[in-house]
Amino acid sequence: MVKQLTWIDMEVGNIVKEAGSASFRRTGDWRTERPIIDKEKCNKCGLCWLYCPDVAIRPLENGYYEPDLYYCKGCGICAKACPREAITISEEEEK
Amino acid sequence: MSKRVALEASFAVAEAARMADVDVTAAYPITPQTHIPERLAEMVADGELDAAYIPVESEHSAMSACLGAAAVGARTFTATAGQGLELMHEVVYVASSMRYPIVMAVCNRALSAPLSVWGDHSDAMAVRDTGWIQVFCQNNQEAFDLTLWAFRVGEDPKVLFPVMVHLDGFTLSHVTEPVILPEQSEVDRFLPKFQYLFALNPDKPMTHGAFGPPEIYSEAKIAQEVAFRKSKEIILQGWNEFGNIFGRHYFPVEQYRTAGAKTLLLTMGSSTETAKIVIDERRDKGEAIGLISLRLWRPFPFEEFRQIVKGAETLIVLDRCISSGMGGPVFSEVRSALYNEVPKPKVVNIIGGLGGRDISENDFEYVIDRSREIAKQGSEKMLETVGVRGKMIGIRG
Amino acid sequence: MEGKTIKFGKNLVTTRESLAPGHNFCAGCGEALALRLALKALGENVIIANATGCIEICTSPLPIPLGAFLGCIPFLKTLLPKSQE
Repeated sequence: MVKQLTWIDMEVGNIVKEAGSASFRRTGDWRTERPIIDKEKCNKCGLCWLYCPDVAIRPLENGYYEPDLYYCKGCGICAKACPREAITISEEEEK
Repeated sequence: MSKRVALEASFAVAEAARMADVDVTAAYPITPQTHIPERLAEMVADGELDAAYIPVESEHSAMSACLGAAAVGARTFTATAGQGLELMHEVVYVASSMRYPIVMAVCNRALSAPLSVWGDHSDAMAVRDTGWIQVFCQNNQEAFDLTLWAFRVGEDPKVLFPVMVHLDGFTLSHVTEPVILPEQSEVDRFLPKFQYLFALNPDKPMTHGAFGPPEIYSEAKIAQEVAFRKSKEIILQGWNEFGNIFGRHYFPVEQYRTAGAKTLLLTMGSSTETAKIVIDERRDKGEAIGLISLRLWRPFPFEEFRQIVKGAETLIVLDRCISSGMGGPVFSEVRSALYNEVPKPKVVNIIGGLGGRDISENDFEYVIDRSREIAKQGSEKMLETVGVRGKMIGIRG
Repeated sequence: MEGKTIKFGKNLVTTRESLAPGHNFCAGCGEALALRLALKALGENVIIANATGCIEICTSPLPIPLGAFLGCIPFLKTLLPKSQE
């Protein structure tokens, strides 16, 4: 539950003073399908990271990539973009 | 030392903007405001004014460019008139809601159709609800003074609202009168550098102009309204300081020979000066008549206004605009401001001076005599006008 | 260019994100992707002036103070390239 702001809480000109504050929002709960990366097939090309509109694919230290399920909305663009078909999309219930 | 020079009101406004050292000016020329951006462009080109002059393709863009400039903390000035103000109307609201202290001179002009470039207050009344601080000028000196004052008040951290300075098209904007220009050092004392705490800056990122769904819009608007009403305190303080430094004093409601007046005439803008002649004559003959003029139009000076008209029996409101199907907008507001007051004067509305029609001394004589008749009859039954040919027969008020 | 980069063909793409996750764009929104990549290309010394549209509403709805950008001015109803003095 978000705190109900009163008019006294409003900033002058309704300015949002903090940059990037959207990142506390869990957009992962919009998801009905989730991406699963098969590391056997992955060649670390990074296209899944590049094409993700939700900034929800994280580059890892070892060169691989991993979906950030806190933000991932499950759109499936990464699976389409992957040239080696290393990413599969599966229903949320199936795990 | 300050100097006394002959200046057109438009040039006086441009001079005030120069002395205020504006950073950005974006304006689109429109009669009768043309001389203001023309002079500013000249000043920038000649190096008299270190500012960015942005030539834009319309008034809508002019105000939008001003928003952008104000957002990054620049002292911003623009000017427009009539149709131009209507074209920028949507952005005019944005400026006040985003709390950008832009200063805009408006050379009041009638609205089409029929096409008229001459003065009346139709354009000013169309933007009365936009959340800008609005003041009216009576002469060239005031045009200069109030423009300077506008920066001081608008940019105050407790205010942060844009300010509109209304001067009548042609009857003021194109008239040359003596104007006292102060020393730059005096201006600098009155007007500190603009420091906008929330200026957009890549080093300190933030978002201006966020979007307000129904859950928050009301709160945002009420917060704005409360701040707007509170700004009156700084407005008065600004005039006070202005008086202390420059020796010319301004008040939200200007009074002229109002002591003991039973009849009060209310005018706005340049016609006030003509009315003064008539008031003088009648006063000298012993009539208890006085003149008031609304200097501050928004936020409306309820207290001062009620205090001043309390003792009068008749208040005559001369409107230079028609709110179609309603009457004069100033009249409507003035009457509603008095409705719950006891005692209160009878308020009479006369409409005249539309589209640059002069309101002469004779017209004022007629306005006063006719208003007294109406006041005696009781409530007004007709649409009452001055200086309009043809009898108003069967036109119910 | 600051920070790490990832190589795509001849192009180096920065890992610095100027569009924060958690924004309100629909799943798979092409506009969000275009915005994210454009912001990467633009770098850091940028102020955005944006006309009303999805980009405004999805990055800055008010009740939750939500600033999805790092340095932006989303609401200026005009084509306005000029923002910085």
